[in-house]
Amino acid sequence: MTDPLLSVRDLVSGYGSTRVLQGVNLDVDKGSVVTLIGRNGVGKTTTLRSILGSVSPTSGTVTFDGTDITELSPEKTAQEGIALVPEERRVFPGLTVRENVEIGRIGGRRDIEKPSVDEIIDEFENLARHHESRGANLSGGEQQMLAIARALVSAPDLLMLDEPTEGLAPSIVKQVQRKITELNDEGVTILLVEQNVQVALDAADYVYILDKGQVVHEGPADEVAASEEVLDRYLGVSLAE
Amino acid sequence: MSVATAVAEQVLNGLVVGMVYVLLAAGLSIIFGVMDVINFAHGELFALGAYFAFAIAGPLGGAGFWVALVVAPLLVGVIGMAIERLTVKRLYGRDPLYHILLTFGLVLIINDLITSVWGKSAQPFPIPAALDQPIALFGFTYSMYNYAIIVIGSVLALGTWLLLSRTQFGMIIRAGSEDREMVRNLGINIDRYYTLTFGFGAALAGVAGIVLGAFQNVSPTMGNAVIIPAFVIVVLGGLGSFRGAVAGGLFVGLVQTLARTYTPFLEGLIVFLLMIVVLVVKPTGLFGTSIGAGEHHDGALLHGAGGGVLSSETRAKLGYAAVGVLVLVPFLAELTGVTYSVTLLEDILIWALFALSLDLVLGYAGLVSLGHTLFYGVGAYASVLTLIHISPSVFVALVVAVIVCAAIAWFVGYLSIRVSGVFFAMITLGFAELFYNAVFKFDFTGGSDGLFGVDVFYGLAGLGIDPSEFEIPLGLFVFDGGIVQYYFLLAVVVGSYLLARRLIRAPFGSVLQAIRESEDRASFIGYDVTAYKRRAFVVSGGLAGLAGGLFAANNGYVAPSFLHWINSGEVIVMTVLGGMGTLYGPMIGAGVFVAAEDILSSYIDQWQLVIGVLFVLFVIFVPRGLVSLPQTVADHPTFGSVVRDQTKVTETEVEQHD
Repeated sequence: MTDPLLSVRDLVSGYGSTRVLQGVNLDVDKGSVVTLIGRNGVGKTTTLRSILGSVSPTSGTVTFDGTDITELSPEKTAQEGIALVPEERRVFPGLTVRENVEIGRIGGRRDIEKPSVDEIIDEFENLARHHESRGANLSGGEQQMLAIARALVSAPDLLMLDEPTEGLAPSIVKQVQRKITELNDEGVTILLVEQNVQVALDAADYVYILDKGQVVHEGPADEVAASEEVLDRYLGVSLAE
Repeated sequence: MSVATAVAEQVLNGLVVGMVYVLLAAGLSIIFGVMDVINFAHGELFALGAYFAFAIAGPLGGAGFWVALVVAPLLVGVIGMAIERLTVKRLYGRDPLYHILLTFGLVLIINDLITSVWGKSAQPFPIPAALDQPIALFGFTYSMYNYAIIVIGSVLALGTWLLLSRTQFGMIIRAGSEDREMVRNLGINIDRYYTLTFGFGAALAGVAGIVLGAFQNVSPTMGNAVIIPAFVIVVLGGLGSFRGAVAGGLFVGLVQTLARTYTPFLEGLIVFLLMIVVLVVKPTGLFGTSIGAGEHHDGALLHGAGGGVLSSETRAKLGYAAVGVLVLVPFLAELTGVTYSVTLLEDILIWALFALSLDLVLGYAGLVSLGHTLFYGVGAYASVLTLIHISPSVFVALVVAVIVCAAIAWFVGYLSIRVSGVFFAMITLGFAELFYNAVFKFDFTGGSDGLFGVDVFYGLAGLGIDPSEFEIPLGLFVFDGGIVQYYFLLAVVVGSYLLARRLIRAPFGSVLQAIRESEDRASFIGYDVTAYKRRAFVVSGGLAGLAGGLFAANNGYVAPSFLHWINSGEVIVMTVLGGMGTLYGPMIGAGVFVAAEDILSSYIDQWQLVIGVLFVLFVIFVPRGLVSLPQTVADHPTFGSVVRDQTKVTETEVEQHD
């Protein structure tokens, strides 16, 4: 078996004196979609932020493609080939759609050829129509697509998405979901944090359930989806069809 | 000369001044927009540009000006980058207040360096010979150099606009001004761009300094003279908006020049009036948007000093001891012959009261009043005018000072407190400058001389003490008018402290602190945040007025310098130096600041430089102020272990205070 693309070991991290993560372990294999689910405030976003380096871990290691990136700053981590689609999208409101994508292209890895801005924009129907609009003037769904486009244009080896369906209409949620599957089919490795359990399980190959800063359950997505006990105990949901 | 030509000439003059302002304000605005840094040292960078050019052009003769025009801004740019790297950078993420303080320290440093290298007097910096002649265009004769300024300014403004809107550099800068963390997350080293931006803004200021230096002359006060108008322009145009800086610069240049010619009375006032009106009507300025400029942390990142490491009991004991010592000082001074120490202490007490007043709004309500000297100065004027025209009684004068200042604070607060953060700071600065410029204009305020030779009487209706006639021999000592004055001052200052403390410990104080921590949450609970802040501001204004009134009564004079913005800067420095949000901290800060200034200035020529350096170091390393030092030492891994065991009990108390 090959080594995972991303490997997190015993990660302890938090803000100030508050420890949010109490020893998280997870692996993301190349080409897979891994999702991290859990209730509010269990440390999902903090896990992503600690991987990226915008929160400095107290202990533990993060290894990416064989390199220890635990101590790297966010910009250095991004230059290693990890792109983040952050919570609440955070597109640059004063920049045009095109500029938002262009700035994404400046970031990321330096040593690879990246797709052109036009290629990426053309992949997203709604963005192509509005490419001169400012980020602030887009709808929530369009902003989400733009945030994904901005991450993709850097041709990342790992794409981390933080609650990409939050606050979106059901039809748009489907679009985002389709996009995630599509990207994975194209070979992009994805680490997805998702509140919407249905979306999370549908999209994923492998699932980690986080509670109180620790992984309390893990398994292939279909197994987790099938286990009512697990869903009920850790997430308080049932996926009644 | 026909009216049309005269007007055309004034308009051109206005554009010349406006272009200098555009260059100055553009740099200031970009630096604020991108890094949230309110750079008070921008005026000194402007002056540095002029002096570098002066130094380069002089020996080179003929073409010297043109060489200097290129080289001097580059040098200023490099200095700007060094300043960013070494100092400003360390404060990113903290409240913009800390940058005001830091750059205030830098003003002292750079200004002192300029005077020690080039001297205190203004020096002529000749216009290049080729431009030093009139030229006729469209049948209208005008100075060629003035046209050159307009051309240089336009070219640089256009270039800056292209740089910001059309280049990758500009795109990253704009993105960074909106969401710097996200730019980092994309893998872009935004820090490098910050350094370059700071350097670029500094270089623009340098160019402005050169063209204006050759237009007038170079002098160490030139930076001080332009920094406030430059802020007005940036605020008027919209903080962080480049278009706003250009439009605002030209507008202010024109308005100032036309006012000087056609409505001399309004010169110096009109710009501040305009700024106040614009901010009240449209707080984001003419071209500002809420993006970038609006996201201030509403005081959430203001570091309150907390209770310090000492228990409240220890602090109370120290307080009694301090008052005890202050009571004994006149006797000790008499015994040792160091009577001067009493005068120094009077200064300290007055500044302590002034700093205490600021702490009520800055440390408790999270309001950065950048023009607090407004109340200090107005209090001084009000009390002197009362002493002259109404009653020689100090009591009456001080009551009038407090009432007038509280009323003005109510009015200013009414207009400005709904605008938060930086805008509030700027409006208060605007009002202070308005009054500063206004006192020059009237006879009853004594114009630029101020009013002096005032006699005071410590009593009411003829009953009381006239200090000039009072003298009671008391054994070895003579209890004279000066001592009466000192004890009165001491009593007022201690009384004001107790009053402020009572206020802060009352529910009113708790609400204020809640507002400082989170305005939203305080208002969700149901408190009228604006009303509470305004009340705090009124009390603070009244106390500052009391401080000003005391100074004027004690020294028997008042002058426009009481209203100068440097005082506002100094009192903020004292407040933070001591530790804001503690009441007693700022008073200690005032003592240390005034004493240090007094002692240093009597031994060293470059005392401003020393104070500036100390201050920069202090803002960076001890942002919570002097009163936090015991805590800092206790937290230190090696020094702390000794202290920590003894302070375990008190630390829990500190947490409650925080």
